[in-house]
Amino acid sequence: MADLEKPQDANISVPGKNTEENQNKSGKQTFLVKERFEINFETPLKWLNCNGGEAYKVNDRIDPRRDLFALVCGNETAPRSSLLAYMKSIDHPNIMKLIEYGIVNNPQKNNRAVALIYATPQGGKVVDALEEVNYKSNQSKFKTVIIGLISAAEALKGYGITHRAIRPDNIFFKNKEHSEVMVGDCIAGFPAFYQPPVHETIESLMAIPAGRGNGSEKNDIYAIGTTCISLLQGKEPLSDLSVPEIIRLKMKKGTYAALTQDEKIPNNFVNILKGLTSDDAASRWNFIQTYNYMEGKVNSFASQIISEKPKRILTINGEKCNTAQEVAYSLYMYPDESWDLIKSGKLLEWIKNGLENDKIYAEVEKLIAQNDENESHDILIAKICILIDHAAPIRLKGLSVFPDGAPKAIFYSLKNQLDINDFYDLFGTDIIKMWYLEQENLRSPANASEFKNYIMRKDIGYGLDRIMYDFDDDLPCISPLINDEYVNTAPRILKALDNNYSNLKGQVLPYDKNIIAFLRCKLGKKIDGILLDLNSKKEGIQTSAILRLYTDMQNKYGPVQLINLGKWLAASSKPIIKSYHNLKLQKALERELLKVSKDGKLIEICKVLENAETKQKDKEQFRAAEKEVAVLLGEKNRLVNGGYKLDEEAQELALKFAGILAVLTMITSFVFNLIYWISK
Amino acid sequence: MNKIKKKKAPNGLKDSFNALSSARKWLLFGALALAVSSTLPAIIILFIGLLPTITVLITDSKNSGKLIVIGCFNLAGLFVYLINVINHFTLDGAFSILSDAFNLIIMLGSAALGFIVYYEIPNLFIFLSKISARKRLENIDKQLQKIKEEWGPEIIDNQIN
Repeated sequence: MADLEKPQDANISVPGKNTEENQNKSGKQTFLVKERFEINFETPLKWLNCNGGEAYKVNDRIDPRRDLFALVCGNETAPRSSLLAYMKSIDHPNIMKLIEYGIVNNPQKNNRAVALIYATPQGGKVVDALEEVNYKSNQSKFKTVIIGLISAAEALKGYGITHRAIRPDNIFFKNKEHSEVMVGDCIAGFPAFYQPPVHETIESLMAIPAGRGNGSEKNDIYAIGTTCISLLQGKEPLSDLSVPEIIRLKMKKGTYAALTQDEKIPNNFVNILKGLTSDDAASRWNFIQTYNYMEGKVNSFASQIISEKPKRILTINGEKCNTAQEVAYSLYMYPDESWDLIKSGKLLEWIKNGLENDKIYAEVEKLIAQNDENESHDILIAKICILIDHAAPIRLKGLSVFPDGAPKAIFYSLKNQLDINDFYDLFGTDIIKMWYLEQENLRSPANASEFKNYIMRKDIGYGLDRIMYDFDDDLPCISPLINDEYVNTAPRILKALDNNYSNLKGQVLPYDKNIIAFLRCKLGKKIDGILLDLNSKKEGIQTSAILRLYTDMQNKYGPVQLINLGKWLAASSKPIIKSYHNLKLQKALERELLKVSKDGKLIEICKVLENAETKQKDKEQFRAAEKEVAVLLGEKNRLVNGGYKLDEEAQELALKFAGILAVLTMITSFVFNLIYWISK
Repeated sequence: MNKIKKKKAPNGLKDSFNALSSARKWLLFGALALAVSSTLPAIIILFIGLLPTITVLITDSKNSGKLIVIGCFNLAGLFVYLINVINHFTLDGAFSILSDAFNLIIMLGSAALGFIVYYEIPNLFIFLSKISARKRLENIDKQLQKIKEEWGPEIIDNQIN
């Protein structure tokens, strides 16, 4: 179990082992995490709710003086579980300290979810004290805020983590003196899923919230810049505009201008805020530039690269587009008009004379030449958009995602029963490969070449589910068979199925495509044999395969008893029983199965049903019986249909007998008469 | 090979007889007449007693089975009187045997028994064979039923289909 050795798997506590439900002394419903942290679900701390999670008071049983709270993750998205171990190990003054985490029963929502135990920020939310601190007039404190946030983002970058939830309402004062700030939770939900549009870059805004991906530290720096502008203004700018409106505004004016508008920003901070909120990721300030500026050192490079706008404009659906980004965005937004532009050659003309980029011109020309006119133009438009604006997400039909955010977008769509057909087009073509080729600093995942194979195969263990789990370790299993259980490791599947058995009505098999895809990703190639059996389309082999898989898992990871799952498997084992030929043996197996399934030990069920010796004996006896039947049927056939032939045979025999009888009679007569004559 | 082919195959008793010289023919005839006259009582008994067999020999000469059964039974009945005529080897003795109807019934009746055996034994055998087949069928059905109970009807249905 290689996957179990991963930090996220090893550290997610197993309920019943590290967490337990209990009643505290006052009779309140609580839940223990790691036998120490008591979550009091009757004391919500709404002001600490964040990223879809709900906050509750926590009592530390060892050190009751500690002021802790639990952020119980919501089930709309999924926590970034692969970061849990790292976040727990980070101890940084500007990052809210993650003390512990575990899976708990949430009595409020009647589900199981990840609970993150954090140290409560003593100074409260920064946004709640904006009037008091007044950053416009208290610039030294504002400087502390910028340095604190930049420092937090830099520390996270050291671990290869992006925060993606830096916004005014997720920034807290560390102490009551309000001297230091810290960023709040970043792992309770998908990256940037809950971010207000104003704090996301133009490219990120173009993607659907679930498909924004982890991004890079540049996204965090941008969010720090916009957050600082918000804090200076004492309000959330552009909060009355829709996402497309904000995108258009940011593209037309640039983020800084769009956010500040008529508001006056202290001169000291104009440059740094412009640098942090630069819409061009390459010219956006980095950590060193920011520190240098804050320390009064002169940066050796220009604060902002002024990009030249194309000399010609392109009008798409009545909108005048200046930049490549605007053109790509409009091409995606208005596909019909885009196709007209492509057909008429106006787009190519604009690339040549407006964008003045011969390389893009040649590539787009080649794409158009290779395109089959009878096919959908969406893929062509998506590819052209990538060539023109490679920093933007992949935009195909109703889908707009960054490749690393695609698995989470699939997860979100499946969970909310949204249309997933566009994902088949996305993964069934070479668009993702093409997107990565256009990126300067990103490399395609090593196993990205498997996308097409996974999509093409309709078998159990493949398809979109497989892509989703294979390319994102954060995602828990979302099979309907486990309901609201949080399962992000293979061992937890068995317990979740066991818990959920009573909720499932009707004859349902204890596995589905989603669970098998999840297990294949977590358990690796060693279950490929099981996949083969599951795809055999023979019920007996399929049930046998799943029984062997679950038995193996219980033997390796426990728990010792899985009474409900045992019953479930026993009830689903009819095809295995029927694979035995002897009816008496089948009945005996059924009786035996009833007995052993009550113990909850799958190995016992497996021993009853998968006994190689019994199987072999049954097979041999069946073959012998088949031979006997063939002989008997042959004989019966001969007796029933061969009447004339039989009569002939009997007649022949009778004549022989009559001949012998006659000869014997003659000899006897001769001998007797001879004796009589001699004796006389 | 050609020489062997050219050799004439023997043309039977008739050719052999024709090949004989006239003196030899007369000699043979005389010998036969002597033999017949010396065994006449037995020949009379044989001729009269074997009339049924002679009839079969003439009317159905190719049916060797029939000839054997009737002939053997006929001979079995005739032996009593052949022994008797040897004891009184005169024409009177032969005629006295033939003049008794009971003796004729025995001689010819034995041939009749042969007829009965020849024609009725096969029917008996066919009858017995049918009874045996019926019993075997019942036995097979029982065995198949037992297999069906143990292995399910598919094991038989699959082979029938």
